[in-house]
Amino acid sequence: MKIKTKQFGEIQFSEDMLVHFPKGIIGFEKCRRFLIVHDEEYEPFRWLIAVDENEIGFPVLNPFLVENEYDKELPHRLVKRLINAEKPIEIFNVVTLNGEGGKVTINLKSPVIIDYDEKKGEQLILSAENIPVAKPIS
Amino acid sequence: MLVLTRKLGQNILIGDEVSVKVIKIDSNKVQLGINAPPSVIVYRQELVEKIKHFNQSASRTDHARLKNVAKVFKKIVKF
Repeated sequence: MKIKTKQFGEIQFSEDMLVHFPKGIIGFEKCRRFLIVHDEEYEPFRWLIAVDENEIGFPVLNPFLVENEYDKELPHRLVKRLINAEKPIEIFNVVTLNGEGGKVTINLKSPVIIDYDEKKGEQLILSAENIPVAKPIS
Repeated sequence: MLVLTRKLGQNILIGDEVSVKVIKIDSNKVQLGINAPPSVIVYRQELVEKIKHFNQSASRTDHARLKNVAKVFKKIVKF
């Protein structure tokens, strides 16, 4: 299968590389299937690319690179699976370059959770009150 | 939209598992108590709007700029 992307031109992928988001991403509920793309030039950022809509992609980052106690904000059931090798999940957060003052900001309030076992994903909203939606990374 | 008028202390039932009660009324704000099972997530609308807005902004990221940011990031993280 192929899709056209802004970031990488045309990319080839197979069905089993797709991650299914039953509820899409907040604000993009129609995008249900995604690819997680790694590329050295963007590291440590990766791209969450929607295959259902043309040229929609989100830069994402491992939150622990900017918030090393992030696990304290996460629900216990998820933290357990971060370290569970049998049924691993991965957590990353959407990043934008268009933050206030042109700053790079990360959304810590709603992480993206990927279950590699089930090939499923969702964007969760954390219940703790004082976690920022747009935290500048400097 | 269903519009109902409730007095202080009155309740609204939504579906089988959700109820909303008017707990306190001030001149320009209302305190609501919500009972819902864990499977029903309850959010202030403006929070969801904020996140939507963030995602939309992220989807417009200039990928060339991100490459530059990545280079800088790699240098910082190495230390």
